[in-house]
Amino acid sequence: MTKKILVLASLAAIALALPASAVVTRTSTPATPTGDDNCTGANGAGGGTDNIAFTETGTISDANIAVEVAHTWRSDIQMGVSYSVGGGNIALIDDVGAGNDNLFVTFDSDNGTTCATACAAAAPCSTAGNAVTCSPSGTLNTFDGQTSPGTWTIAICDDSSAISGTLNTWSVTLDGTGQLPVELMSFSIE
Amino acid sequence: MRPVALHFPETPRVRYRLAFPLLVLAAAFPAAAGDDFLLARWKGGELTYSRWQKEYAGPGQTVDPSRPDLYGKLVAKAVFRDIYHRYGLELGLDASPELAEKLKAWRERRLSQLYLDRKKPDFAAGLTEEKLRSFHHERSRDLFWNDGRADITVLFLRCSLRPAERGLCRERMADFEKRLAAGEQLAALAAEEKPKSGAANGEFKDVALRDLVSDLRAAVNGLDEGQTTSPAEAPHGIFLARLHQRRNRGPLPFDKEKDVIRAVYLREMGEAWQRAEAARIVGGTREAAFAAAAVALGIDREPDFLRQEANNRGWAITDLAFYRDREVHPPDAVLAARIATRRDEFEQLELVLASLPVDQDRAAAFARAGEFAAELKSAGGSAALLEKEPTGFQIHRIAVRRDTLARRFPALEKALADLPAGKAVGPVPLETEDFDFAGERDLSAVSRSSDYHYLAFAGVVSRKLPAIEEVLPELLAVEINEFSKGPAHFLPFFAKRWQIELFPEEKLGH
Repeated sequence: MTKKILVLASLAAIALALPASAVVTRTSTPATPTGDDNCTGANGAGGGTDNIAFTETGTISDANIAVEVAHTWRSDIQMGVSYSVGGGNIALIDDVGAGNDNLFVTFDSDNGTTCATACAAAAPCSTAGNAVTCSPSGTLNTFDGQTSPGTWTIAICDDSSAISGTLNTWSVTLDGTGQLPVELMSFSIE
Repeated sequence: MRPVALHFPETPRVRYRLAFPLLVLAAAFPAAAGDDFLLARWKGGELTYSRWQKEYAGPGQTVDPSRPDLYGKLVAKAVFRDIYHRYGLELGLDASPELAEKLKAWRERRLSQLYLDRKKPDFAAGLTEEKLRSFHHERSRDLFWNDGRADITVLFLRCSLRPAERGLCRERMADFEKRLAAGEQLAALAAEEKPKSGAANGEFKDVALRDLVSDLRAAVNGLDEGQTTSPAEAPHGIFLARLHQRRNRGPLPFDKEKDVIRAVYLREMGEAWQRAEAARIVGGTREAAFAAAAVALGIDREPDFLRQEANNRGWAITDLAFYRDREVHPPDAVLAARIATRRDEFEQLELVLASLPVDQDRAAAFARAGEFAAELKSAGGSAALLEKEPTGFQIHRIAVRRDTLARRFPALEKALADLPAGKAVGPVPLETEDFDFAGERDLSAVSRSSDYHYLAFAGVVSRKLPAIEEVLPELLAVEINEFSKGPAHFLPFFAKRWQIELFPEEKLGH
């Protein structure tokens, strides 16, 4: 049963054989203004907020957050996320990307590249076509092991004057492999 | 955080001189050309107000003299773009394969998204409760099923897979079976065995079946109340399990889970539509197929898409040019030191990986892994053993960065962290970092182990750190993110190379 595969910079051949996982995604399109120069602390405090509620029962094994923010000075954006059940108030991003446009990102703490690196240059993270998956400044893994149902709250503010923006869309993706009783099998293996 | 801008609310020119004497020495004050004004000047270029308005002002944007902070941000951003876009064109980057690759990826992804946004049917429209109930009924066993909770007793004889030890184990289990047949209680026999399975003499009260390790879960799932399994072989021993009582097993209630069922239904409909659409269009990847379909619809010729594409192209050239401008970057020694301190991210590993599937016959897989572990040990951990493609294993040859490996197979990355080239380790479970060996070993409840599918042995063929050029964007993220903190970071970084002068905002309109 030998099988020789040459894989360069990719683990796809192995990943194909891994089992499916239980994944649930909820999305909100709040068009929440960031405000301007309104941050009062860390993790988006002082600006706008929006909620996403999950009704599924079970235990979370992985949580990822995707955002689409329109802004013409990316480093003004400061965001954090919290969960009603526990896990703390987690910083997502702050002072990243200098004066670049917008922020199209999926925050995934299991990703090896930080958003501070991935979104530093202008083009990446600037449009839906250039959206990037990267790890946030805090760790979303603090939500692993928390139970569902519960409500997620994202907070976004603008930490410098002159230019403001809008949180157009955000979503929470929960993975409850082997734990969520409602087995939403995605069968999408990546 | 402060903006990338000159911002001097009270005595601007004094602060400017204090902060950047080099720049001020070089600066004559901006010359007006008619009603136009210089916003910035640098070595080899300048930016006037009229050109800024024409080329860089967004909808409704203006450099308002009464908003110095806004002025500073807009001018600084335009200057960066102006310098490096032009520099990129001078370098011929607009015709470079690197840019073409970036733009192709962007274009395909964006067009694919636009196509899906426009063509994907609204499956929620007309979705009735009757249809949802039907979906719930049809899919309850695979999607909306609860294995429930149970009271069970487990008699577990721990033993390895070594034939002699496993044989003794089987004999002992046969004795227990005889005693059971003679009327002894399973719980009493379980209490007799040490170490015991579970926390209370093999008694598992009101345990969620999904929390049991996979061998035990599978065995109990096949029982009716009052039944006992036949002796079942597991990687770490042999067990008997009796199901006393089961609760809550069955389909999840429709009314309680209606929202979830609806979400699953819509997602399945969407995914099925995407698969069918991709098959109908026929292309390379699904994204490429949708992008081609978007082109066929003329989406790529729409003004909004063309504007986005041009803007993306401009910034992509700007990024590439900035990374090519090595004169402004920190010295190579500094960048090399950054690579060295971030070895766990950047290090490139060339591996030979031998993986063993364990989802068919777990006991046999563990036995084979044990045999090979012994061979590897006697060979001094030599990776050459893997190169011989041992029987039963799938062999993969992989070149991968440490951070990528850690993301996908954290346990493997951890095992390889300090392993020298030429050496091999294993077995390592590939599937999950929180695989609970102790739980598996003791057939414990709430082990949180998921069913893992592979055990692996990995040998390091080579390991090396990348050249600066290979990871430059990641290395320079430090500086780029600092630009937003203001002129104290932005201007000095470019001072030697470009000698940028941003002219104070109060001169606007003078």
